[in-house]
Parts: sequence; C-alpha cells; structure tokens
Amino acid sequence: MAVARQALRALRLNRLYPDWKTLADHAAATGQPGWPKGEDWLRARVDQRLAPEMLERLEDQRGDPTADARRAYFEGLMKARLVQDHATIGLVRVEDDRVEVEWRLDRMDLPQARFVRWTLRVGGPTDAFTVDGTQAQAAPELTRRIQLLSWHSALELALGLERVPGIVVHEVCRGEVGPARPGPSGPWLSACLSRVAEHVRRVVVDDPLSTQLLVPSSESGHGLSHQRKWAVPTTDANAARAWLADQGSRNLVYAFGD
Amino acid sequence: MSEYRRAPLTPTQLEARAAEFAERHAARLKGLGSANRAQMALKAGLQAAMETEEREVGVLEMLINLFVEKPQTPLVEALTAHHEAAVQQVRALGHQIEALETDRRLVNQDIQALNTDALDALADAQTAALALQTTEIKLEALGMRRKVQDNADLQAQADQLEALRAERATEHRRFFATQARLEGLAILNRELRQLLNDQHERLCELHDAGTAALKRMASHLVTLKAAASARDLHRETESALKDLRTSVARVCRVADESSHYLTEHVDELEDRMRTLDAEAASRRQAHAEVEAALNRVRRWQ
Repeated sequence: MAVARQALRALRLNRLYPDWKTLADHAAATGQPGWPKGEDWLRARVDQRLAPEMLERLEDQRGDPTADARRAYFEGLMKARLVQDHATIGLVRVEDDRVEVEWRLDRMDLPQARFVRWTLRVGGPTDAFTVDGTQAQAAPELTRRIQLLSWHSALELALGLERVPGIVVHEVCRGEVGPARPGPSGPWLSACLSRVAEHVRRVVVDDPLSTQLLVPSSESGHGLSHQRKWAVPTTDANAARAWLADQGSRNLVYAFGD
Repeated sequence: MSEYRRAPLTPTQLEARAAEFAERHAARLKGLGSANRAQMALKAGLQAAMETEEREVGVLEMLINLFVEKPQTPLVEALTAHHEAAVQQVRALGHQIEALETDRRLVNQDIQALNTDALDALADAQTAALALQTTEIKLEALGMRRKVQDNADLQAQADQLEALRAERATEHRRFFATQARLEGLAILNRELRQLLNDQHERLCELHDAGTAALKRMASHLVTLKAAASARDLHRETESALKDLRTSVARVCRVADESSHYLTEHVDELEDRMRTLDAEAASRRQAHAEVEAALNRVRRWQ
C-alpha cells in the first residue's frame, strides 16, 4: 500500500476531518512517493481539468510511445477521485423562530498541502437560513462571511461569527490533515483537531507546529481544545516520540508500515 | 518491372499517399493552434490576476484604515484562485510544448520517409527513362529494317515494342510525378519543422516567463497570509505588484509576438498546402487524359 494511504489510515481520522480515502486517492494520482508536496496536489487537479483537451490533442499522435504514455497518464487522471472544496448545511432543529444547523465546509488548500474540514453548529433566526427538508441554505452574506473566516483558526472563526447579529455559535471544529514533516524513514504526517464549543471551558493546546496560535483570554469565556496527532513509519516511532517530548508535547503517535 | 525499387504508383495511389501526409500536416498545424490558444489563455489569466490585485489594493487600503482584522483575506482568496488558474495555464502550456516536441519528432520521421520515397522514385524514374530510351532505339532500328524489308513477323515485333514503349513511358511519368509530389510535400514539411522549432523556442520562453510570474504570485501569497500589521501589508503588496507587473508584461510581450508570428505562418503554410493540392488536382486531370489516350491506343493495337 502507498505510504500516503498507510499514513492516512493510521491517523484514524473521524468525520470531523476531510475524507481520508479521497485524500489517499488524490495522493496516489500525484504519482509521488511519500507525502506529496503542495505543487503535486495542485498539479493533479489542474491536469485533471486539462485532460479532455490534452487527450484530444494527443489523438493525432497515436502510436508514438511518448504520446501514448502521456495519454495513459491523462486517462488515469480522468478517472481519479480528487479532493475538492465542498459545503453542506444539515438541519439540526427548528424551534419557533430559531433554526439550528450543522454546517460542514471542506477547504482544500492544495498549494500548502493542508486539508481542512470545518464542522460548525450554529443557531440563527429563520431569515438567516432557508430550510429544505433535512438540508438548509444560508443567507449569502452569512455564507460569504464564513468563507472568509474559514481561512483562519477555529477561535477566530468563532469570534468572527459571534459578531453577526442573531447568530449563536454552539460549536466550531476545525479538523486539518497536514502538514507532514520529513522523517528518516518516511513522512511524519500530522492531523490537528481544533475545537471551540459551549461545553469546552478550558484551554488545552498541544501542538508543536502552531507557535503563534491565538488562544482565548481568560475573561472571554471561551475555551479551546487544539491537539495534533501523528502517523510515522514504525521505525521512526521512537524518534518521533523523543522529538515530541523535546518540544514539551504529549501528542499521540501512531505507527504505520512494517 | 523487377528492375525498379518500388512499383510505380498510379495517380490514385499517389494521391492517397500524398493525402496521408497532408492530413498529418494539417493535424500538426491544428496542434500549433492549440498551443496558441494556451498562450493567449496564460496571458489573459495573468492580466486578470494583476487587475484583481490592483483593484483590491484600493479596497485593502480602505480596510486597513477601518482597522478591520486581517483585511487581506479577500485579496488572499482572490489571488489564490488566480494563482491556481495561472498554474493551470502554465501547465497547459507545458503540455502543449511536450506535444509540440512529439510533433516535431514525427515531422522529422515524415521528412525522412518522404526523402527515401522521393529518392527511390527518382532512381526508378531514371531506370524507366533508360528503359524507354532502349526501347525507342530498338524501335528505331526495327523501323529502319522494315523500310528495307517488311513482313508480318517484323510487324508483330514492332507492335510488341510499341506496347512496351507506351508502358515504359507511363512508368517514367508516374515515377517522375511521384518524385515531384513527394519532394513538394517534403519541402512543406521542412517549413513546418522550422515553424515548430521557432514556436517551440517561443513557447519555452513564455513558459519560463509564466513560471517566474507564478513564483512571484506564490511568494506574494505566502507573505500576504503572514503579514501581521497594516504597514507590512501595504509595503508588501506595493512591491509585489511592481514585480508582478514586470513579469506579466514579459508574458504579454512574448505571447503577442508568438501569436502574431504563428498566425502569419500557419495561414501561409495552409495556403501552400491547398495550392499544392490544387496543382496536384490539375496534374491529376492531365494524367487522366493521357491515361485515357494511352488506353485508346492500346485498344487499337
């Protein structure tokens, strides 16, 4: 099994993270060993878009070995399942003039090789959402606001959203896959879950990679849970644990491979 | 016939062979068209990215003055989209360059095949000319003999030689026509090769310029995301814009020059191919008339 797929599977990613199987398929489509770099992820996506045009162009060169190899590459890409930005809003409950929704937003930052899934539980007045069965649609200005805030941290998004009149933020989860650190025997892939919620009162931050993370002040009344976990090749597991201990971190380390 | 390198091509066979090359030639010219579209798309994409940035800088200044948190986000978002579009356009250009390289290799193979075929046809035309000459000498000698003394046997020999002469003449004409037609195609393919070489060079230059612009955009995005203060942001954006303007101007210049050059030359080559076809058509007509006349002569014999 490819290293990226092994590492992704070892990370035990739940639904608060982007779908790991699609990530593994996309990683395979890059054709790169290990954990692909940002440009590789992006290249697979743009090449998939260019594939129909290029397949037509290569049609006239049929029989030439180089052209045939390139056609096989584009044909493979056409079939590959790649990650993409995606948003769904599921209805949680409707009570009188209030609507509560679960907003799921996948933001795939390919050039940085960082893949984020936002899961927000927010309540708002009925005019902020259009309900359609079990799904809902948000007012355009609210969608835009969330889209802009989604570039930032979980706390920043929660704070930014609370400023919108009528909106109550119950929970903000930011599940991120990446980045990976190069290790002696393979990539050390990390994933980080950041959560701001009504029931989270304490501030628990354990992430050796986020040194400039905005944490809530004691008087703000917000808590924050922000923890990273790692998947490293079995032979690097001890080295990874030692490095984390050195950083003063108690991050979980999962091993993959023989 | 066995003394020839190849069997002589009838006009129909020759046209089919020429059409095969002409079709490939046309496909390669079409390929140059795709390369041209790719370079124009790159130019338009980078210009759009720059315009967005110029427009957003105004908005950015306003936002900075309003002390909004992270005022760069809308700009980062817009530039990220432009960056991805530009990556795609540069990639498209890269793929077109590779396809052009394959075309160039195939054109070279075609030229070599045409050269070999044309040389064979030329050698065969010479062999046929010699055979024709020999037959004519024999016919002339026989004519002299028949002037002195004629009989049915000599008449039969003369008829046989006459038929042979007609056949040799046809073969000679066919080899000659084949040689001329293939040579014409080889000339056009050599010009196409030149065009592919020139265009390859320009597209590579454009690819370099595009890649440089992409690098600037990417590093600008990274600093923009990290910019902490409004002053940093302003300074960074101003200097990045200046850089970007230079690289985009370079891309635009190369793309325009290359596109202009291509339009001129592709049209010309297409015209020439059409003229060659037209000439061939009139030659084909003449051939058909001669063939018909020869057939009539043969029937009378």
